[in-house]
Amino acid sequence: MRQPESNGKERVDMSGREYGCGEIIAVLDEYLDGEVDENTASAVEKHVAGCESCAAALEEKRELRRLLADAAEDPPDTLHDSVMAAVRADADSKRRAFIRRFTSVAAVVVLAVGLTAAVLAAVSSGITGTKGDRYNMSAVADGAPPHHGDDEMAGGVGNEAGNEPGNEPGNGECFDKPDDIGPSGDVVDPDAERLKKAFETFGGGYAGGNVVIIDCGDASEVEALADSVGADFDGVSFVLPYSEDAWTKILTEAGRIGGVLSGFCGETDGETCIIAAFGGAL
Amino acid sequence: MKDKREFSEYTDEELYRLTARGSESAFSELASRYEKFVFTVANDVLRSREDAADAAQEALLKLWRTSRAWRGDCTVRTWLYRIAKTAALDMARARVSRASVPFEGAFADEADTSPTPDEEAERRETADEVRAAVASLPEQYREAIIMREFSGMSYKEIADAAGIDIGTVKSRLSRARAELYEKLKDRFGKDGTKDGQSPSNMRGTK
Repeated sequence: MRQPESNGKERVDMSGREYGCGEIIAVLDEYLDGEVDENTASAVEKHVAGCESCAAALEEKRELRRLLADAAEDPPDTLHDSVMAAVRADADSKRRAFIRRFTSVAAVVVLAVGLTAAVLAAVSSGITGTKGDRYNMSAVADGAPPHHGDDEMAGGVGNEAGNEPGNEPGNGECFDKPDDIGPSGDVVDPDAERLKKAFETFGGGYAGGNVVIIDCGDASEVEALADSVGADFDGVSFVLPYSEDAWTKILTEAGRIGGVLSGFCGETDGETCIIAAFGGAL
Repeated sequence: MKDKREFSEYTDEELYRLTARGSESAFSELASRYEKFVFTVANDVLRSREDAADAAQEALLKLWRTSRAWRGDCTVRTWLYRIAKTAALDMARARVSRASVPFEGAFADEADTSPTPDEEAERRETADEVRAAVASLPEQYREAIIMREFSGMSYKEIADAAGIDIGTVKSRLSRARAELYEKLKDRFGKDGTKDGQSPSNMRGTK
């Protein structure tokens, strides 16, 4: 084995490259900080394996890190819960603000919410109001005018009271689908009750009419889409007066974004509106 | 297309992107990862556990609210560091203007008054001493050491967060560590590090 010289000039030879203790010590901190490449890391490890004084230096540096880590104080146990309570309150107030907007404005309203594939499929199947028809995006994109549904909106559109407990957003998604909606791809009987329930889960209400599924993947893209039609996106929804131009633009922009924006044309306060939603983990 | 991984396997950035789409549970995972770090940053500024907890909550709530403003040009960790530091400084200013809370020497108030000769007390004493040593560092060194040791931020992240270059990061860390070693060297060697040589005696040549 090697005998360390008192001036620390011991050398270890690895693949033609020699490292002196000075060079190794100079990179020990970076090595411990994970900032060196693989070659340097193994050079350090090999040297330290055969050099007591450098091994001691490394250990001291580790010891300092341990002391610092141990000294970090844990926050109070309650911190996480109080953070999440504040977050929930913040999210709830945004949803309530959206509901208020939806029920008071006769306009195009574009929501940003998450819908699962099953809800999207269920909503899409009501697109022409004809029972049994499957979703056909191109028909709507061609500018087919929205038409009012036959079903009456008993109880009005949207609930000021907000979401029912059973329909509250679940974990990991913005909103959960109602239980009675079938799996994605099914041809669901376009029962107005089901669609109504689907939209109640995000604070709206289905009033009958054309339905389009478009799903954008990104809030910043919905924001850009809102800008392009002159509306303000607040992270949850945007609103603008209905026009065929705006509706067509929304459809084609969604195509450019490369996704699907879920939504529908419906009624609110007796006026035609477009309600569209984005996002969701499919 | 559904991602089958658990949230714990997601990167910070993936969690934060989900947060921007409204996922409270993704945010909950993200917050759990950084609560201690945010608290440490706040505590370093405020020197009071209670105020630090308040500031930490403010900072994490702000992290939630600003998820759509984050453009991915820095890591989530760096983003959060800035938010946390700002929240703590804002609270410090508000506190000073109330003029009722002493700003200096909060560490002395927090120390144990009657250490008992047992392992836990020894550990607390050491921790207090280490915290006091960190607190006594000049601000720039202290900031660098906190970012590195209490959240594992990379040199690049520290550089971004502090607005300096990587060379400066390395030298601040190096000097912070050298000073800490000097202040704490009595605490070393208790685990039996061998020879008397300290890192500061072994600079060597480059």
